[in-house]
Amino acid sequence: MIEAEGGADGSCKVAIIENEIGQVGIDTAFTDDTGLYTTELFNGCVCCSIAGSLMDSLAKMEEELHPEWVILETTGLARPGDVAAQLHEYYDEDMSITIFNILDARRWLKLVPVVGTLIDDQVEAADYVLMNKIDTTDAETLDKVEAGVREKTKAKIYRISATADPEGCAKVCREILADIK
Amino acid sequence: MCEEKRPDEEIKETAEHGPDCTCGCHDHDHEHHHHHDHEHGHHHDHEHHHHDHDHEHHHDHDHEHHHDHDHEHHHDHDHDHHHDHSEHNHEHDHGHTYEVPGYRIVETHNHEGATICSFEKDIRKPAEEAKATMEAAIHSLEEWLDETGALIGHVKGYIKEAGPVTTFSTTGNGLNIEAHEGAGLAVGFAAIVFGPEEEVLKDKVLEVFQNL
Repeated sequence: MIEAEGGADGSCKVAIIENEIGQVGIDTAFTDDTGLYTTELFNGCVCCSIAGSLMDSLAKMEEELHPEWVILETTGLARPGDVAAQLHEYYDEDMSITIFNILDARRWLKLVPVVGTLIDDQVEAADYVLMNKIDTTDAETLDKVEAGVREKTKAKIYRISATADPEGCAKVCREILADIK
Repeated sequence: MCEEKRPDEEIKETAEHGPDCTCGCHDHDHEHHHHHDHEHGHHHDHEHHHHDHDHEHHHDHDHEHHHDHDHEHHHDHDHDHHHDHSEHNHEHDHGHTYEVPGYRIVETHNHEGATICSFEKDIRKPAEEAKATMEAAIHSLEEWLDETGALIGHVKGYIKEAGPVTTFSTTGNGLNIEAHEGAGLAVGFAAIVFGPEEEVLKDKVLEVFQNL
């Protein structure tokens, strides 16, 4: 998506905020190499315990870079609806926010009984749901997952495999970008 | 909250303010900014705001933790996956950091019913060997989590090679410039799982990574 928007070659200013629930930044080992302006927020979740840090980081980014896009990768334990509400209330009520929920289709039915309300919140808040790992998930399970997701959200749902079909994944991203604009 | 340590426990645990702390310490905690300039190469602007607090932290090293915060913790870790962990809406415990020889950081905490354990360490061994060890350790942890009925949220890690470093120093009598070989490997790891207690998870993580 970053590539499609021109973030990778610098034609569009894209910044990333990476939130890690623990004190150790794992994903930034990758994002460091993207050449993008990246901020890491450690040791808590931007939807609650370190929401203040998120506002500070956005303000700093705006001052230093004036990004056209900010990609916020929350922890898997975040409630994105809460993040959006806080950003609108405390940062910029006119801020355009699009929420993506990338779910693990292979394990989704297993996770629902364990972290149901969290997953429900994540799906409900989403504008786009990307069911990932479809290459390792049987058709029956995929249909059950999609039906379960549809019960909870009006979001557009896509089936992807980030590993097995990066091209298909990129196509979906371009489609979503066109949709957002 | 914290379990009593074994008498022979080598690891020294330090209480710290958790993510739910009301003192505001986490509002400006652990932010790193990397600014890459597309036109002029990569200029890293690292800002570390570690422990930039003006209040006092009262650490108790007698294996007891005194948290003087007024919220309640209702964590249920009975390994029964037929109930909903996430009903602990927005609850998180006070994180725990452990001083473990050879590790830069070892920490655990709870959030939304998940138990989190992460560590960082620097090692000196061939990258291929480190990769094989990381792979074996993660498989071993996966097996243990499966056997104990726990559920993986996300288990992830990285191995980063540190390049050669040139140091510059002076005490007023000329400049000393030294070139050093690569400083080895930096390793990071995090496990976000549902089921085990913090202490149990931490012990298991350290066990499976003991050969790293």
